[in-house]
Amino acid sequence: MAKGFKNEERYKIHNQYFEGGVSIDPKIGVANSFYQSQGLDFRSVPSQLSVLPGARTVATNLQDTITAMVQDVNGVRYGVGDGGGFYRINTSNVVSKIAQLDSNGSAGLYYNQVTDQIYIPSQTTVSLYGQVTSGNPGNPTFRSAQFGKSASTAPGCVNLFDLSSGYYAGLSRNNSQSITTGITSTSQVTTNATETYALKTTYAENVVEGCYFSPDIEPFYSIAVYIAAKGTGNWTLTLHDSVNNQLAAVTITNANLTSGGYNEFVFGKQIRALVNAAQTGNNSSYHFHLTSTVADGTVGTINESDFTSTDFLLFAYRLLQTNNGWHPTAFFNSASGSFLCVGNGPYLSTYNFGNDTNPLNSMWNRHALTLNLGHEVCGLTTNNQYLVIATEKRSTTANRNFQEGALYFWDGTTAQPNFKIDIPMGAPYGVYTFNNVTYFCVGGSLYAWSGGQTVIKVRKLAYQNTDYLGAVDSTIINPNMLTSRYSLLMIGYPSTTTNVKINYGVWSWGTVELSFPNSYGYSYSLANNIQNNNTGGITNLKIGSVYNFVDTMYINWSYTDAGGITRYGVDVVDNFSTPATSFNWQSLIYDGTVIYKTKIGTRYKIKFNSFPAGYTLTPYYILDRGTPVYATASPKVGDTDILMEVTPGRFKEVQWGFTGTSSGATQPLIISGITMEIEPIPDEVDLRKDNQS
Amino acid sequence: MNNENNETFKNAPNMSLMFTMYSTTFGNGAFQLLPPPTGNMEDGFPSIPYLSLEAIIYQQQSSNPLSAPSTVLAGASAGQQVIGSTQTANDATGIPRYIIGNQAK
Repeated sequence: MAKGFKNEERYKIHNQYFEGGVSIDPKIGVANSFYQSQGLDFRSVPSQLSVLPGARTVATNLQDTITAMVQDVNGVRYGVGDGGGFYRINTSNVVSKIAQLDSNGSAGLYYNQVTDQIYIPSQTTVSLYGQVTSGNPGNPTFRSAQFGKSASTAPGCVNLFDLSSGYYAGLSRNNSQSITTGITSTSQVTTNATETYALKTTYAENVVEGCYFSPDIEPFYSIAVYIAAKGTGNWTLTLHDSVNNQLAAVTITNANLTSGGYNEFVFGKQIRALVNAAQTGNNSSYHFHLTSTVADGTVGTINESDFTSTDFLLFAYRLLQTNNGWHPTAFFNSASGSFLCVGNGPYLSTYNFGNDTNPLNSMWNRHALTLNLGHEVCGLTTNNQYLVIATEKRSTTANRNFQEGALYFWDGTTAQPNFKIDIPMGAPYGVYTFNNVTYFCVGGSLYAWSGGQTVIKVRKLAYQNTDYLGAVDSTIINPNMLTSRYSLLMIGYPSTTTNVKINYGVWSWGTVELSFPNSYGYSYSLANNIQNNNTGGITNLKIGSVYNFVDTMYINWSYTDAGGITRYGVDVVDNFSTPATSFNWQSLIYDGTVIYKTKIGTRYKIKFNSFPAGYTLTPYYILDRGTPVYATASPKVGDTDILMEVTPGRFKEVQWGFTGTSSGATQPLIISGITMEIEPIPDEVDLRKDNQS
Repeated sequence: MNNENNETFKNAPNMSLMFTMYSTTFGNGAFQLLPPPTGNMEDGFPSIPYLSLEAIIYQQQSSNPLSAPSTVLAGASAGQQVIGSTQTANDATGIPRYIIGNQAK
């Protein structure tokens, strides 16, 4: 289409449609895009901008940041915090603390409507709360660490090694394999030991002074040994791997030993191990030695004077302590059954709800899937017939991150994942399936997968790279940060970051209908409008999770204020929210595609519906990427536009926008047109030095 | 005054992108480099064609089905074949008539 002068000499650079959303470039984008917005709805009616409802804080009486939420059938909502607080959010959004977990929360929570129980993983155990709506109404029971340690009943631990078969298929050390519930205490077990082995004060690394086993569960919590006669010495259990690296050594003083019973040597920390390794008898994957300071004690054995036949029980933690601190949860229907799935470090754990009192290890399967060793599950979702398992490799040093992750896909019927997509770009955070497209965040960008061989980089969320940042970027997105609201994808971003340039908040992606494009924007800030970490005295800024329940969205947050006090809260956006207290919009930079040429800005106008009470609106323009020039007055109630003179007006590039506030307003401000008028000055020489006026 | 850049027909290239112009092997085959500015002053913002995520997903799902096609064995000329997947279309009697992309194993 021809360009140039028509009926008048001044150009009107006009924004009247806004469906393009926020562009990643300050000058170009899809049609009707702009550079920035906050708190504005540009999709519902794409020919206008209207102020979105703002978040309001409904609770500050928390002691940690909620990272996972569920709702029971009566509409009461529950949240678990990263510090282990378990909260009830009643139907009036009054938050009360119900219980404290035995350790930090792990961003996992599941409500089983049939059993009416809430399953709450902490760092190494799972607690139960219920029945929440039935049973004893109004008085559910909190069962702390209901699923804790349990003992292995696998042949590799219970049976003696059988030389003829080459497997651990010999006599049983005890009756643990005939017990029909999980073994959580040595008191449940009866020994089969009828012989003894006399302890020495030292041990040798040979095949007769070690008790070998091949574990099926990890991490190890303890080893309980059946002591026939404790003698007078203090006993030490030393745990080795197959190449005799010492994994742990635990001593129990003689006074604390019991003859004729199991004595539990508790390691005090989790001992990581390989499970289901090759069972090759004396070359088995792990073994322990027992010594006493006085060589007068005996341990119970199956064979006479055969230490390898010692009766022992291997206890393992229910969940392993991960570096990322997470055990995400998801319910999954598969052809082989329905499971509660729990991310468990490099494993996927499954629970078939077989016995809430004390499940067998086969019911609570710690290692239903083994993923990349060293990886940790950082999110779970489902896509068609697959459980999607996102894993990351997490460093214990925040400023030395790995760049490694993967998506695993499992149909629930196989011993290994059906297939895997490596994510070498980084950790795939916040994995969430919306419209059967699985979205996740990697390194400042939004990605999607929906059945292809590749994952699709959708767009930049916060950054493409962190060049010139001048600081180490460590940006984490918790497992439950993505949700859907009004058929749009809501992206809580980030959970934590050291990057002061990233604005915390809830970003939206999507379209209101198929003929308009998917678009992106910054929709909801925290109610306190704190947006940047390590800025203005604010530290440890965190968004723990974002959940949406029909018309009510929860944003769970915390930060440490300038006085060193850490504050926790729950924000809500719902139908009773008033307009966002702070909103803004900024155009792309206009240069007429002739950046070399000087133009003159003359006027800037914003057109809106009758200006409602309770608002301020401040137009501004920016010449040549300089300091914004703000209007000195805001519209009055009932006005339908505001006009701003652009002076001085000479520029190569110009950008314009507005900021606004609301207080006491109840209806949205609706903006229908934004226009910059410029004088193209065609008679002026185009190519001149920039500093010539 | 020309307001072309505010017109939604700028998104029209999306139609061709949806059907032909994206593959997982070659990426966005329809990507259009912006031509160099002509030197005429424009009265709007330059814009690029919109490429929808749905178009890419459509292409991925049709060109790279998750389950690989069944192996065709030479010499097998008789027998019964069980065909059924989410990508088949059955006639009124339930007999699969069309298979898009792959065949159930």
